[in-house]
Amino acid sequence: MSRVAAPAPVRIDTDADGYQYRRGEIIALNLDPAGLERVRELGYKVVSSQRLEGADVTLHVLRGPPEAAKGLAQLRQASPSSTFALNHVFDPAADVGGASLAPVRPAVGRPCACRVGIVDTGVDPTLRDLRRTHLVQRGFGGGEVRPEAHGDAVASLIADQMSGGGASGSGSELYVADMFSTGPQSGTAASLIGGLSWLTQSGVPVINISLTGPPNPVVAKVVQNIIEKGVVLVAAAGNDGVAAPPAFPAAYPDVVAVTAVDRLRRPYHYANRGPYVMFAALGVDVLAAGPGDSPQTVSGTSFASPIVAVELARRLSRSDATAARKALQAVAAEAVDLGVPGRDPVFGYGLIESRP
Amino acid sequence: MIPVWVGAVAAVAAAASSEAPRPPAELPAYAIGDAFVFSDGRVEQVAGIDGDTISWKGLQGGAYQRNRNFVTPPSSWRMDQGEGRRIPSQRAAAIWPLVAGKSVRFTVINETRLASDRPWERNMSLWTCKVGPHHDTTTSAGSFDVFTIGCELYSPVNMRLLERVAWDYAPDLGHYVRRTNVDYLAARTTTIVLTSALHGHAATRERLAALAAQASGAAPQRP
Repeated sequence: MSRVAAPAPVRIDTDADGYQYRRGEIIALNLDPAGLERVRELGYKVVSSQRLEGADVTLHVLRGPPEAAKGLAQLRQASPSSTFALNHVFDPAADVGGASLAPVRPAVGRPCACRVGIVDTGVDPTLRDLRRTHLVQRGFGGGEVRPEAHGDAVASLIADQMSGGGASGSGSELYVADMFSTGPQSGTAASLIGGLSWLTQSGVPVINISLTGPPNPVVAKVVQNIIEKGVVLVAAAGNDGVAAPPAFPAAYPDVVAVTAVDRLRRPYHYANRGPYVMFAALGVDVLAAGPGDSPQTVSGTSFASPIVAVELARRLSRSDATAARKALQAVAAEAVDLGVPGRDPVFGYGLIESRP
Repeated sequence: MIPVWVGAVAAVAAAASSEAPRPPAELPAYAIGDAFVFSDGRVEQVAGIDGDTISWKGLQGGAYQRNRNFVTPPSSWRMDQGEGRRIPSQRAAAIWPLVAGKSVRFTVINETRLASDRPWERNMSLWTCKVGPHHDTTTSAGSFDVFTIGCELYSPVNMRLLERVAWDYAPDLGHYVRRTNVDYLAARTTTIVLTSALHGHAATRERLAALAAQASGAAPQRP
């Protein structure tokens, strides 16, 4: 009987800005053989190299000395044509509890045969809401799909929107990339990139990202590639507070960043603000499906972005840059301007609500 | 790349605004862990909440308690062997909710002792506070609609003006974004400005240390 070595425990460090990353791990894009050789000469082990067709990149995971952050400059010098970054850890963008108003179920529009992807935790496929859609899941955190309350809530909100609140299916499809499949610390930049690439290759025109983390040059490059392919990326603006630094991927150029408001259209107290906020949607004291089909009341920008994602998906049958631009214009034209006139850092262009 | 999205969308965005006039500002509501970073590198983080009493801590210690009505001085503090406590009169609360033009006068009983085996020393101070009109202000943490609250401390003996404190309170943030102290006895003016703030879950010691170092221009230090 062969012995299987237990996986090494994951250790977490913080970079100079205080963001978490997996100790000693660096991710890189598109290293050529000579670049890989130089990386090895610097003492880094190439843990994996994977061609990701959806993102149109080759992603390498490198492992080196614990103080990986110090080695970044050296690596960039060794292979200037590649992109390097720490393997940062991301968080679901949600708050739990603290409901100040009665929980509310978001309004739903007409049923649609929409196709939406999400990068999140895994979801429970037996949830009533999810039985109304064709669900496809895959784990990107190093293991099988692992349902969690956050993914259940986000997925159920999307499925509810796509089914128009009805009991029967509408021909919609929901693709779930579980980037936390072996726990919170598996939710890395590499997992996010793997999930985004798979969803893009699956052909979904809209991807919802209810996660936040630090700026990461490798993720930024992948996000740019995917947007260039005509996929709309909708992301939670973040719940770090109104005076917090920008949250990513929402703050990358051309990502559709969504903030949350309550049912009285007041901004969510802890929502990030900034010029990158594009839309607002209901995301405070929202009633969503939880584990075991028990209802859960959730708040945060995580639960606002699904509404915008589905509104965009209604207008897009496939990924296409021109169609994506038109869809975005159409949704913006329907936004109810809140706050100061025009686009502002609190509400973006304004509130997006589904209409029957 | 689709760089034209933003401009194109701007051209078609709906125009109707529902901006409402600024309502009176209520007392701030904090959550444990909420943290505020200021331009001098100081970090004020909520360590505990007991009714209206907020316990604050910095990255390097220096814990103190203050009422949610932050225009009153810290209600208790400890430093080295010494400690102090202050009891404001009930009237201080009347400044809330903030409305332009509202003013209040109150007294504060101050008790201090140099060590736990030393006797308490007691004195009283007189404060007046007035709310100015709300206005926009911008710091590196963002743009905020603020009420400026100007408070003055007088000697109870000769009514001499000892100190002036001005707070720019941002209701949307639930904290002040600028504080200016004028100490007339020391002929010294100090201003601190908010550079960032983090909600509890995001306010790890490492992130706060990094933001504090950025704010003060110091090299980052591991907490």
